[in-house]
Amino acid sequence: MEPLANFADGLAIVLSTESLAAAVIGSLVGIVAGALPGMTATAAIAICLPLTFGLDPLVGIIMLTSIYYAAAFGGAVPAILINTPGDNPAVIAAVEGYPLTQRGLAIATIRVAFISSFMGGTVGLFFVVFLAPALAEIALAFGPPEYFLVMMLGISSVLVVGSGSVVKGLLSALLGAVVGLVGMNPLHGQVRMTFGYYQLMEGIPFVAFAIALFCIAVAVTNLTLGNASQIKQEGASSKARWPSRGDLRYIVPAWIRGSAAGFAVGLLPGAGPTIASFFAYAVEKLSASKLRAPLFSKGAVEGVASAECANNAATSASLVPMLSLGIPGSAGTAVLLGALLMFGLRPGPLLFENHPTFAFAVLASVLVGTTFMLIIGVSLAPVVSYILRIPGSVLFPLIIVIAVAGTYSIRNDVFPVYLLLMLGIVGYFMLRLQVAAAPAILTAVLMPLLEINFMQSLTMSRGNIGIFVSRPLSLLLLFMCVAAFVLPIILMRRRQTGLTFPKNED
Amino acid sequence: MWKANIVFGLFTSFVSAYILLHSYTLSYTIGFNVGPGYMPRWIGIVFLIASIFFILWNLIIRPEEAGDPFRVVELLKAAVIFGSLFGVLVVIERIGFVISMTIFMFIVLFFLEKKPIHYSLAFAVSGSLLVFGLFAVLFEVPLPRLVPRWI
Repeated sequence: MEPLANFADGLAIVLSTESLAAAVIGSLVGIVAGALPGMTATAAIAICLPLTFGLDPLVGIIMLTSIYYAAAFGGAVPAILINTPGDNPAVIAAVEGYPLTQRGLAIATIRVAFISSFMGGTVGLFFVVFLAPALAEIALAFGPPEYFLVMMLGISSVLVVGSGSVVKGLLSALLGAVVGLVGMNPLHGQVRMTFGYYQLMEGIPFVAFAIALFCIAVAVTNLTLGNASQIKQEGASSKARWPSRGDLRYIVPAWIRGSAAGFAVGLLPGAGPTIASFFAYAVEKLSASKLRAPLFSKGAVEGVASAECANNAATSASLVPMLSLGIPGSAGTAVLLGALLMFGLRPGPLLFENHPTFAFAVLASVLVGTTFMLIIGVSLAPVVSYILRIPGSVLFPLIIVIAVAGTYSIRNDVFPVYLLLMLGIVGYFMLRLQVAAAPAILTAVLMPLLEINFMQSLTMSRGNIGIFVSRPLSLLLLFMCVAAFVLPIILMRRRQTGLTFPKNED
Repeated sequence: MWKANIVFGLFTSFVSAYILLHSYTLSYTIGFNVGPGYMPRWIGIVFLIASIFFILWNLIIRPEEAGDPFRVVELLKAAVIFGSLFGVLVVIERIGFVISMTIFMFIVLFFLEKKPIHYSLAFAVSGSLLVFGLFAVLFEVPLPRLVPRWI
C-alpha cells in the first residue's frame, strides 16, 4: 500500500491554496484551449510555460499538467455542439455527438462526454498510481508490427459502418491516406506531392483537414441549403438534460471497455489519445449488439462515452512512459517533459524513488483537476448549450471565422488557411454526396505513423512481410482487423435481406 | 444522385492516377526495405481500382440514395461563400484579421442570408472581434493586424 500512502501525501500537498489555485487556473485555460479548434494542449502548455518560471516547481508543474488534462476534456464540447472537433481525439465526439445534438440531446450528450472523461481519467490515474513501473516495461514490449496493426484496426472499423457504403468508405479512407502522404517521407526524407510549395514539406496540417471536413463542410452545407435557422431550433430544444436509464445500459459497459482500451493504447510511447479514442470506438463497434450497431455514425451515445473515456484514460496513461521511463507518449507530454527538465527534475525510473512526493503530487493534481472539470462541465452544460440558440445564419459564418483563426494559429501563416479552403470544398461535396469524413480523417492522421511502423517492421524482418503473422500479438490484432472489416458487412447484408433486426425491440 | 457520384468518382480517379504516376518518380525499394514510393504506389493502385469500380457501379446499377439533389442556387451560394473567403484571404495579411473577417461575415449575412444591413454589420463586427479576442489576446496567436500591436 506504499503507492496509496505516497498518493495521499501528494494529495495533501495539492490541496494547499497555491497548488489548488494553479490546478483551477490550469483547468480553465485547458478547457478553453481544448474547445478552440486549432489550439492544442501542447500550444497552451507552451504559451503558459513562461508564466510558471516564477512559481515553485511543483506548483508550476501542477498548472501545466492541469492544462494538459483539461484540454482533453474541452475538445468534445464544440464537437458535440457545432460538429467542430476542438482537438484530434474529439473527432469521434463529432461523429456520434453532433447527430445527438440535432435530435435535441445536446445537454445530455455533453454531460455524458464530461462524465466519461472523468471516468476514463480517474480509472487511468488509478492504474498509473499502482502499476506505473510494471506497465511501462510491458509497453516497451510492443513492437512496430503491433503498432501498425493497432492503427489498421482503427481504420478498418470506421471504414464500413462509418459511411453506410463500403466503397464510399474506402474512397474516403484512401483520400485521407493521400493527404497523409503529402510532405517529406518520414524515414528517407524524400519530398512527395508538394507541387513546389515548401510549406507542404511538413505535410498537410491534420487540424486543417479535420476542420475542413467537419466544420467548413457542415457550415457551408447548412448555409447553402437555407436550413440554418431550422438546425438552430432542433438543436436548441433540448429534450433531455441527463442520459436516460436506458442509455446507461450502454454507457457503463462503454466506460469499462473505453478505459481499458484507452489506457492500453496510452501506455504505448507515441500512440497518444487520438489513436486511443479511435481504437476504443472500434472496440465499441465490434462489441455492439445487432440492435445498436446500425446506430453508429447516426448518434450512438456509447460511441461518445467510449471515445471520451479512452481519450482521458490515454492521457493518464501517457504519463507512465513519461514519468517512469522519461519517454514522452505524445506532443503534450513532450512539452511537459521539457518543463520537468527545466525545473531540474529528471523523469525516469528514479523519479518515483528520489522524488516520490513530487511525482505523486503531480498525479494527485490530476485527480483534483479532473474532479474540478467534472463539476464545471456537468453544471455548465446547459449554459454552454445556449450557443445553439444563436441563429444559424450567424452561427455558421462565425464557425467559419473561428475555423480560419484556428487554422492560422497552426503555423502562424495564411498558407494552411488556403489549404482549409480547398479541402473545405472537397469536404462540402463529400458531405452532400454522403461520403463519410471519419475514414478520411483517421487515415490522414495515421498515415505517417502507419508508414513508419510498416517500414520498421520490414526492417526488423529484413523485408519479410510474414512478420505480421509470426508474432502472437500481431496475429491476434490482424484477426481483429479482418473481423472489424468483415463483420459489419455481413451484418449489413443480413439486415438488407431481412434476416435479423426485429423492429421495436429496443 | 448517381450522376453526382460519377463526378466524385472521376475526381477520385484523377487524384489516384496522379498518385500512381507520381509514385514512379520515387524509389520503390531501398535495400531490402520499402522506399518512399512504396505506399503511394499501392495506395494509388487500390484507389484507382476503387474509383473505377465506383463509377461503373453507379453507371450500371444507378443506386437510389436518399439525399437532396444538387440545385443551381445551392451551388451558386457555395461558390459565393468559398469565393468571398478566398477573396478576403488574399488580402488578410494587408488589412488584418478583423476587417477581412468582418467583410466575409457581412457578405454571408447581408447577401446570402438577406439580413438587414444594421443586423449584418453588427454581427459581422462583433463576431470578428470576439474571435480575434479569443485567439490573439487570450492565447497570443499572432493573427494578421492592420495596425501593429492593436487590431
